[in-house]
Amino acid sequence: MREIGRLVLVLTLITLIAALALAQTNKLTKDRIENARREYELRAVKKVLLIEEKLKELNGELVIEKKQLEFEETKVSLYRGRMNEKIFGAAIKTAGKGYGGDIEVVVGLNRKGVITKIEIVDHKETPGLGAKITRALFRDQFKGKSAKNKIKVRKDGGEIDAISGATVSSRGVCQAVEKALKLFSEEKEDILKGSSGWEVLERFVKEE
Amino acid sequence: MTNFLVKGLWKENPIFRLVLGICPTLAVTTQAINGVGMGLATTVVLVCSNLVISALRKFIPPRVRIPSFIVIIASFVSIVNMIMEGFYFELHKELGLFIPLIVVNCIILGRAEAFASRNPVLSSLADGLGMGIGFTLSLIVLGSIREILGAGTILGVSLFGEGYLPFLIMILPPGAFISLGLLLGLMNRISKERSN
Repeated sequence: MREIGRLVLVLTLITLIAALALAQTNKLTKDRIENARREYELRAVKKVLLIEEKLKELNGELVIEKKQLEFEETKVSLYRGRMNEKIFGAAIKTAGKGYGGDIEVVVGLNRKGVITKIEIVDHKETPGLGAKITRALFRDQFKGKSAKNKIKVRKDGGEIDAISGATVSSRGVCQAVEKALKLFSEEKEDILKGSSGWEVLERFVKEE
Repeated sequence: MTNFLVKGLWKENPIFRLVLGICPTLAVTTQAINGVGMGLATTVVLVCSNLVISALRKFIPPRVRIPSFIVIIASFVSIVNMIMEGFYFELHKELGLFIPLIVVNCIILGRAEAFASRNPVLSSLADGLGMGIGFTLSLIVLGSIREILGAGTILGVSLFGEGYLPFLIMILPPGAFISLGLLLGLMNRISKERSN
């Protein structure tokens, strides 16, 4: 009996200390992780909106805005770039099913719904294999495509070359991009003209 | 003391001599750089857990040692994961995939059981460090072989130019078994010749 008491006591103590240490670390790092994730996403958004090029020709004001909405039962983040009252492009974050979990993709589109660039912001694909979806060689295939194209891997009758040995991962990216294109065509009005629910994330001002 | 440190490199190399931690080894060695990341993250957890388990070795009753070790190891893994994501976000993007795998790496539980729970703190620290470095080096060697043959690159740099057609099988799971098996055989042979 006494021995059991000791076993229980020691195990309880160890788990208690472990829980405390974990809670403390979580408290210390939670905000930083949250911030870092947001930063990272915003950086990808800027890349697909081609902000650097836009800033070069900027005369006046450039704003990046964000809106959250529900689409096909998942939360998606919508971003748009506005230069002096005119929306020049949108970035949509969607997810597709990969081999190791969800692949989160930020898809950049111009006013006409043509893809400017895509960035992979999060994935759990096999390193050295499926993880190659992040390479420019693969991502650049989506440039210039729109809802008129068949965004599927060739095996499925589409126009995208899958990474050899990683068809599932390549499919996941196509799925996310297709979703983004569909969302854009459905929400086009709101993205190009709407004003309610959009929150300003960043503002650049340059006068010549 | 140096003996504890060095034995992990060859004589008791965790992968090639103890044949421990094979699951993460097979999974991550598709390229050399993964070995560096996985190896270093494992070393940190191994040193920390060896340290704590050795310090608590008289306090933990033998009958509950395994659950205690697992709680300690899993906590360190989670802490490393959180700190890395909060403070080194870019690095975490690359290696985040591997960190949860460390919990099930039997090298760590193996060293806790076979060494740290029976030896003083300093020796356990040296043991953890040596085993960690041995594990890291082995992963790098295996990863390099598979990356060179399977992708034609080393650390992401192309070696043979555009025309090279890689043996894709080397970076797929069968390639892991093939290269690990051949290396194991080679290491056994060398050790045998040395002892003769």
